Amino acid sequence: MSQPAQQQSPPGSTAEMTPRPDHGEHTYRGSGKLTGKAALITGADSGIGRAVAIAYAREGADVLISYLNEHDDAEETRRWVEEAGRKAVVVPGDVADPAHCRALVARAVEEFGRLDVLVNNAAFQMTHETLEEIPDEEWDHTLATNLSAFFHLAKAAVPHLKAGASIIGSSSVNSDNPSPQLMPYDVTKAGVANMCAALAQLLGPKGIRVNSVAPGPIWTPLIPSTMPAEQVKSFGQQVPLGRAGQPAELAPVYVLLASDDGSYVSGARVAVTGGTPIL
Amino acid sequence: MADEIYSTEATSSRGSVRVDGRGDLAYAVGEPGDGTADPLNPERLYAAALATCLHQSLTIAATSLAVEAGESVVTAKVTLAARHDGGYELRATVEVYLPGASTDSLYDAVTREALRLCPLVGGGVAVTFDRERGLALQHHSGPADPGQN
Repeated sequence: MSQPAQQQSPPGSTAEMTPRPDHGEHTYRGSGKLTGKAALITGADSGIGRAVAIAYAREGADVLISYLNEHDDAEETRRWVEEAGRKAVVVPGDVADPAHCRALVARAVEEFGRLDVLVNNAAFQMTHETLEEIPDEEWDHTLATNLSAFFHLAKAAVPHLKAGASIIGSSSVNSDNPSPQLMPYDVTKAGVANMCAALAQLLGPKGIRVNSVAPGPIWTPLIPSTMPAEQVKSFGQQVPLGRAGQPAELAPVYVLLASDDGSYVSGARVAVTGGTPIL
Repeated sequence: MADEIYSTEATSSRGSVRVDGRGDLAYAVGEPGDGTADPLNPERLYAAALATCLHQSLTIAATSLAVEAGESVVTAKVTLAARHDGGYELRATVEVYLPGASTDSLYDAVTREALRLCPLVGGGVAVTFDRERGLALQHHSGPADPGQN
């Protein structure tokens, strides 16, 4: 797969992408791996978050869909979750605000009566060619959205999590091999992987597992809204599999890490990179 | 235990009330049903206080559950009643419209918390009668600036 040069403004919309990403809408088949569980997924309106929401719902989980302001995308994800017969709660708001992170957890517990899976997935990035052109505010905003939100969500969620619960952070291949044009993003994704490794040790005695997923180039609204059009055109071609991945190709890993199938998997950073090694 | 956050002061004299000594916060206040040109009265002021105070508590409660409160509406109905043993009492009924709550259970959760938070609901207001200060005014021919509007 490749894609034509294209450009959007952040956070980007799924409907404006060519081709439309595959979130597993017509392919993912559940088998009850998350029956009766409740999940909170940030950035669940689109991209990897939507693919994970669809897969979790088809595996039997209720899903809180946290998103910034992309209402149409969020409603589309809600539709798929409800079509799977599960409860969907859509909540707009900015995870850069710690109070909103706490409110998301409280809302999930209020709506579902429980919380079993936290997926910290919402993220911001922007390409820059030089250090000087990165605005100070953008550095702070990237850290707040991608990393500090995870801290506040996890801190609020842990009192509600029981043995068997799972926390998953969306990291990136950039956590291992930083792209210089995405420095603030790289730092946060390394932070997510590192925090997961530490949390796995902190929370292991409670029976809570914590892992990160390190995607390679995945075709999501983040890409055309934060990269120059020409870079979008060649996005993904440099990996051994020679193409960008689809959000749907991430979902099985997130399901494994959330389900009892992954009962001894904790502290891992799982690479889904199309062949780029993370050793 | 409670930590003080904010204090204000209202002074009633000569048919008007003045807040924090400010001329721009002075209101003509009459008795309920006295037939004069629709002035504020204590019941209306209390209804306004109750509606706005509960509305702020509602906003806090809603935000803590990531529920949108921007379009919410709070109404307080206040009734003055004469007690059979002499004296008066106030009764209030409050209504909350919260379109951001998508389910009845979420509506219940937010409004329950708002009612718990609101200092004008339930707990009531602890009123201290400052007799010493009052007597001092008595003996010095009243406040320095008795409610000048």
